[in-house]
Amino acid sequence: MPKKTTILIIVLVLFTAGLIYIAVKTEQQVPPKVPSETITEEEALNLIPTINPQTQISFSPAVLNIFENPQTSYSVDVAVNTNGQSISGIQLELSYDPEILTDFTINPAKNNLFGQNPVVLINSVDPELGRASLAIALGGITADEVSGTGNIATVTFSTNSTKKLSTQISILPKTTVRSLQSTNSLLQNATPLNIILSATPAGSGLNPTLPPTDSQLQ
Amino acid sequence: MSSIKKLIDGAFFHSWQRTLMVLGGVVMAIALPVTILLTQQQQDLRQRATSDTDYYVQPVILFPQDYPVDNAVVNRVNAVMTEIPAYYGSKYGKTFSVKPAEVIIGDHEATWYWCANGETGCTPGNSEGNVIRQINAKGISVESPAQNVIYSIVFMGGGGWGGGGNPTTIGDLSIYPELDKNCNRVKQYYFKGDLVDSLARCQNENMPNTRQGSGAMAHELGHAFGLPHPDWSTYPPVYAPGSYEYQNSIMGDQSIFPNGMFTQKEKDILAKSPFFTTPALPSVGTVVVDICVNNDPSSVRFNWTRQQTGLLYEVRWGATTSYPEVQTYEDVSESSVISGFTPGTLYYSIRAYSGTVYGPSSIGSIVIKSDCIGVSISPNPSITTAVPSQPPAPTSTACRVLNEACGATTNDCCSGLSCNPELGICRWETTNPNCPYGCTGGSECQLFGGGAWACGAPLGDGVLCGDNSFIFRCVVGQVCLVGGVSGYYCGAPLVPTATPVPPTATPTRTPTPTRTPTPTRTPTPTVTPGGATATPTRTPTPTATRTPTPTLGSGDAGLSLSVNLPGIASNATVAGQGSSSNTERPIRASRGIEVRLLNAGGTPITQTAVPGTLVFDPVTFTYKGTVNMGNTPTGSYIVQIRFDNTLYSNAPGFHSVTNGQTKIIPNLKLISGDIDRNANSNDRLTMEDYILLVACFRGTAICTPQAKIRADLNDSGGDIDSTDLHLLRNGFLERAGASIQ
Repeated sequence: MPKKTTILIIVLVLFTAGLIYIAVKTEQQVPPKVPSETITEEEALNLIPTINPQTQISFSPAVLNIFENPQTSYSVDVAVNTNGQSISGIQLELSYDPEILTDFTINPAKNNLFGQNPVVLINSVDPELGRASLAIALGGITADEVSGTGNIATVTFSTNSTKKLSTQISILPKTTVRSLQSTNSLLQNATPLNIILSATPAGSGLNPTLPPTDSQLQ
Repeated sequence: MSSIKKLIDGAFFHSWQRTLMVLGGVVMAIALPVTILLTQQQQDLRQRATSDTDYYVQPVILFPQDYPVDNAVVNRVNAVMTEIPAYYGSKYGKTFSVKPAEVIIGDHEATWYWCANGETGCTPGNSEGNVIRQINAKGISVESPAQNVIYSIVFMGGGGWGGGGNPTTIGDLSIYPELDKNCNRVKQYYFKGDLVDSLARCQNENMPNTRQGSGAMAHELGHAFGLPHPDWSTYPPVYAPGSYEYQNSIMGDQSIFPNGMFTQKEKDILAKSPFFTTPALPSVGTVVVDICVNNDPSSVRFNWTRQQTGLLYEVRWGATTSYPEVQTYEDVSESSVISGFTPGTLYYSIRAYSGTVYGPSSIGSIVIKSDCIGVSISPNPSITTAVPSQPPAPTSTACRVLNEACGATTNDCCSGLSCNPELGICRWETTNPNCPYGCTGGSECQLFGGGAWACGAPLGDGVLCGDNSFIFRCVVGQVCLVGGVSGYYCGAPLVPTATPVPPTATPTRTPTPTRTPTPTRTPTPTVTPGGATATPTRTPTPTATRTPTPTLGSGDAGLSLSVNLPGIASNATVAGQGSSSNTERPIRASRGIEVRLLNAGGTPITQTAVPGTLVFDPVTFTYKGTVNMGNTPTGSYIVQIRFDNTLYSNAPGFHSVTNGQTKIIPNLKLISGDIDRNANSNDRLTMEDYILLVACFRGTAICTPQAKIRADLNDSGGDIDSTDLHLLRNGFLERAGASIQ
């Protein structure tokens, strides 16, 4: 047998043995314990910078004059302007006078800011207390955050308009606007819907609801 | 010979030809073993495929859109579908295997499947076909099932209709009455033109108090096995309605379940079914019940003879004879003392369990008295109150217990232990497959940081503690607590009330004498076979101190809890195609729990919840453990519990808590999803929980390491995925925990 061939075979055998040795050694190796520096969750949360809230919530239209335009039921959109901020979800908490507004419903708006198939986590109305909740978010856990101006919900209701001159649908401080980048709510302010029920409108009008503080979020 | 020599020497070949031959030889040398290896793997796969084709019954529950997923229904179906094989086994001699129920969430409301009122996209007059196509579209092949599978469909919204064959189908009339003990959730008519008045049947046939609903499931399965009605003329001999054979077979009268029998004709048919491959388990036989054990009127000891080794036993008890399910307690030994019963008649059933099938039940009743005056008390000093999830406390003559000297060659250690040849004492099993090389020198297999399994020195012999990055054992008597630098630490059980009570000399509560502390069992790092040193550095207070076994002081009250979590093993109701994505073995084997006691007015009796630890039991798929509630005024309380990512749930009803005793509260079901556990968390699912889950999926900064663990709702090891999302959305169906309801 030529010398070259013999040498080639020996080299190949040694190479194969080396590969087997490496493979076996790797398999047997136990990952070394690496002591990890752990911090408490509170400390970790404190390290996350908060973002200055810029997002505004309002109704569209902002004033509903039922006296001038009586109908059997009314539909009003809830609009959001993120003012450039990227958001992932909103939990809307509304309050209304159940003696004035009846058949109250809240649903995701068409052409929704959160896309065609947003996730609706909460959709409930308490007609006795006059409370409505809608938690709406991105349509999937891989969807990109959204920003800009758009509608998120539509409220519909009928009125029992003989009792008061006007009423409001208020956006409660518990309402929260959430981003994947910040632990605080991005809601800057929220404007209630003023509903004019008679010829003499209620005077005060458009008082923005105060933004929630962190202690109020839950 | 000369030619051969020339061939070898290369006289017949040019140099490029020789090079080609050498390369060919190398290729052959590599290809041959690889081919052999692949062939072996294919054989293994074929063998596995063979085992996968074992014959079994697969329950499938369809919840239409207007029937919210109800875990109670899922658990009920699973319970009945373990009882039916036992029934067939006891009446025929062999039985079949059943897998945990798959859950399907339908795309339509229930009436759509009936397709009787102008609905579109469905086939009018073929509700079964519509249901089958729906389930098929969700990924379960019920339309053309494999020959080794019988699908048993539970159609919620299916009322009183049913059908045999494969798949079998039953409606919710077979579920709700027995589950609710009333007819409140049964509708009168389920669709336009429904011929069956289901509500009338439920009421007139007393279905809440009979087993007819379960009998219907057993009946329809009988058809799937080939059984006819007894009076079908094509299957002689024919037994007419009213005959003894007809009335006593579930194929004639399903309400006879769980009593009755199979006729010889039916047994002959079952003998031809390939599904009946499992030998029936033996009955536990006669059960002798001792009351007033240790002079305690609330304590009972069930005694029976273990007919076969390797079996678990399940004891159920309650206030009714029909199906004692008010309380359950599994994996008990054949002479366990169970405490906490209140005076009255107590019905019980005991049966063997192999891990896949149950044996026939031995059923009986006893009377619990309010005192032990005049009761003959049989002594049994060696047996103590059974504690869930702990290894049984054997007598010294039966097997060697933990840290007891053992014979290395005979391996006489108790179950779950093995004789360590170097230490000469019984230690925890070291054959964990996660440590394939075994652990020597007294070390034990455990999970270290970074998710690596390795051998290391255990710190104690008590409960497992830690999370998916590090698990260790506490010393006996300590509990796993949440907090500290590492997130978890071992410590003494916290006592909620500060009022000390002088210990009273109650014989039954005297702490068991313990072994002398073993100075050599300090948490010294152990060199693993690979040479790396595994140092359990995250444990804040390593100590070798042995503490007494009982965690309850003589004046303390205990709660023995058994908890189910959605997404864990068969207890789940998860995404899309049902429970196939559930986690069989949660990564957090030991989990902290918080317990609140409230008085009848709903006011908590302590300002803060009492912490405790539960350990996952892979046999029953539940988390079990005893929580020391400290010195608690004797009385009846509302009990609320939660894990670190669940809402508070009430244990149904009021529970009598007595100092010095352990109250058993089984089968609690929690609602997962409360991920944002900070100071403002208020036992309510909100947008913050959802955002945190998404953030943890995407790895943004607001997901802390602790939040990521909580967001892993099915405890699959840190992977946040659509299953967790689905579990969270299921949680939103409830939204509010028991503490704020």
